[in-house]
Amino acid sequence: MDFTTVEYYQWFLPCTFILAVLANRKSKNLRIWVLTLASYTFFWFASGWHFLLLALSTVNDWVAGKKISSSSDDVVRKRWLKFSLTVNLGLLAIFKYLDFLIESFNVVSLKIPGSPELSTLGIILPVGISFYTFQTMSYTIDIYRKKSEPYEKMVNFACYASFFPQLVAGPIVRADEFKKQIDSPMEINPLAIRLGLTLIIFGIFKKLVIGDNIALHVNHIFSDGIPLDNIFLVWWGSLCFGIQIYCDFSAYTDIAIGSAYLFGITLPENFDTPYAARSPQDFWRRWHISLSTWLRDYLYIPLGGSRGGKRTLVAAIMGTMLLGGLWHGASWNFILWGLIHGILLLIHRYITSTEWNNKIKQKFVRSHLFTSWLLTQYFVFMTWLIFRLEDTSMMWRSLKTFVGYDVDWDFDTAWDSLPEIKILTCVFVIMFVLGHGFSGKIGGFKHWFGKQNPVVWGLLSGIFLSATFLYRPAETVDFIYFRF
Amino acid sequence: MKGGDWKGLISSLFVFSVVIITISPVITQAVVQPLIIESRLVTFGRYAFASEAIDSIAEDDSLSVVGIGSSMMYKAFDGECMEAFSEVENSNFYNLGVPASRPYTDMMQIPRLSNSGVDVVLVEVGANLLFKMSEGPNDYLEFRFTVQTMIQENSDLGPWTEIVLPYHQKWVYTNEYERTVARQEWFVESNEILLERLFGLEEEDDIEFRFLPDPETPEWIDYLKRPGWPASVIENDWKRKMTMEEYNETYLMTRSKFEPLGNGTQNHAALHYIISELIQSDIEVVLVGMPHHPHTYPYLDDGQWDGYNTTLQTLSESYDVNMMDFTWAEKTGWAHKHFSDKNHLDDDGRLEFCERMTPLLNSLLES
Repeated sequence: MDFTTVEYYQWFLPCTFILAVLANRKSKNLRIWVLTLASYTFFWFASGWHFLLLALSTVNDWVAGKKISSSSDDVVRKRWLKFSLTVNLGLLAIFKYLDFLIESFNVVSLKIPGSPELSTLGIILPVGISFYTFQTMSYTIDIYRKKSEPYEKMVNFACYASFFPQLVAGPIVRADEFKKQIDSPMEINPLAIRLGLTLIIFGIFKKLVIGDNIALHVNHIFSDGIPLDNIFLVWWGSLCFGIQIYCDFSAYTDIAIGSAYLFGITLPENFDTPYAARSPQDFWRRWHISLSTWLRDYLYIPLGGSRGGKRTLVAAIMGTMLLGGLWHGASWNFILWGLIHGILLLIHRYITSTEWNNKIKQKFVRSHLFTSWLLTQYFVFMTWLIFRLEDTSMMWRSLKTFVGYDVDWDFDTAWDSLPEIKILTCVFVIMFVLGHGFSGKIGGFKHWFGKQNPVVWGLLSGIFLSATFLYRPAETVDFIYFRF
Repeated sequence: MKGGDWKGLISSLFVFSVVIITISPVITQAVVQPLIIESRLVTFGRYAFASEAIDSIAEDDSLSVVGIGSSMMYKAFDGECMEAFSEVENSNFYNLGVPASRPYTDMMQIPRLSNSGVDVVLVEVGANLLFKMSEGPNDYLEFRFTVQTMIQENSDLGPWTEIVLPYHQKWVYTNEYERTVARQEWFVESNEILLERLFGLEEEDDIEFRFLPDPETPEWIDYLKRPGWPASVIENDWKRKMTMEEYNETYLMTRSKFEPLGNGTQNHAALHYIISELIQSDIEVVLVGMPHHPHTYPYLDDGQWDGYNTTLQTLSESYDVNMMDFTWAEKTGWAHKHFSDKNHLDDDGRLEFCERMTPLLNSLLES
């Protein structure tokens, strides 16, 4: 079960909502129990026995948090923090990275005569492990840093760690933010319900209509053995993948935030029109915000951030981006993706510190803004190729083509290579581009639409949901971020 | 909306529900159905044109005659010719024959046809139609049932749904939700076609007879009377590529091996249903045994088509129907020149069919 399955809307969400409302009348604690049990049920349907790992991570951080908080001895506190981090990172290392490490070892050992070849273990990646381990790790780290207090009851903490709307693919919520909300009685607010429904409908539309339809082009271009030497085809593939991944991931976040609203919980925003970003730094302030801020608070700043010298800064940026890339998946292309984003951030820092850039910026304000946007997005979309293509030869070929090296400029070849539904997909792309720009101007289309009067809201929501039904492709594409 | 405005939330949800209940059924019907009939979404729009055709015929206040059946009826019935030969003023003749159709699929259009006010229906009964329908996958039946029932209405349902075999039931959409879901599967492709049309990128197809005119245009009624027909197979293949003997050996021997049964099949049940339903609606029924190429008969075993004779006899004894049996060519005088292939008529054949049918139709319309 996930956010695109009928079961979620047909019985899981309504039943959980009704039970939570009824439980809330009895007591706050009962509501928390209901939400926790519902979350584990959701996770059971999404990931089977892997719910045990979630339980393990929860117990580990709950105990560690308590021990750290109750001790004034720094050695003891540090020991418990290390213990907690070891368990969490150990789970990640085993379930997410072990097979990757074995494969990488085998690649190296092939070059060394007599080296043994190890077999991979075929470990299935538990759904959401990267999200909930980061979430629970931040809890113990914050307690260790004395920035927050531990949860009083274990069930409250279990509810935080497993809260089903954000369990599988975020947004990554900080323990403090959640605690404040779960500790207050649940308020059934019609405005919140309507806003929640708006976000859910908007998310489903984005995912199924735009993301999944565009995915047909992406999968066709990058998986069907089509020669990637046509520049229009590669540009189109990269543009489409950029839109697909945004619509896919931000849709998940919208549905998560919308579902949480129904239970009186506000989750943080994860996206802020990232394709309007005018610099790599700006992009990371707008893309997967909850991960970016997590990496900033728990990696970039501890690594020295911008407070040290140039070397520290370079090390902090590159370390953060490399690990950020690796967080996405156990594969070299994600590491390369992180590396290039790190380099882009450094180049941007260098350029913005130069005299000539400041002069141009002051003299040609609009041109500077436009060029900054164009260059940023050019590189962002180029790096999506690295993110999308795990096959190294395809990745290099597409990167060469993207930058115009040894390419075919025949537009007709590109057009003929596209799947059957061409014009409609172009319409979806244009709709997305316009919607993205419009959304940026009005501070979020979904929030604007959620505040309209009842008739306008009913009409718009009805149209969006009907359009989702009408334009959904025959097969739903899995959420991309489920893999992470 | 204020924080505690429950009335606002309920109004919002009410408008929302009305919109989602109405938009999808209406839009899918409006977008998908014309493109199916037009033959843009399917190879041949006739497979799904019955409902629209019957609605158009129902608007005709004059006396009307309709022919239903397989490609044999489709290629035999020339409504304009019949109109020209008719001695009854103000009478119109419509051809609703569909390639590969059989009573089991024709029955889907009977409730609508019964209520359309037509006066006479020619029902094809042929050796080619009286076979046993088997449970299990069948691309043609799946296509016919799904395509036709997804553009029908609840009023098109009737006792015929009980004749449909259990395995085939899943291809029959029995409510608006199922029909809308089925039409949705064609919706994205339909949109692409409409966009191609809008931008002038639609590819032309030179198989003219495939394309049906827009039901909103005057050509539509002309088409219902006199549809286009594919070129003669005999002209194209036989005379050019093979001798008569070769043709007979390859086509008549291998493909004319119809083995009609005398009763008990789904097609027989459908025929009983079709005839009784039409008669109950005061519609005159003419059972038509379509002609087969005279060269077919030497290849038949003794008694091979007895099932056909039995069926025709049973039906004519059970119901107050008229009959025109052209099947046995040696008795009824159909000749090689009338045929486009082993069992379909060509222009000469259509003229012959028209001349032979019109006297009976005249008498029925006059009465």
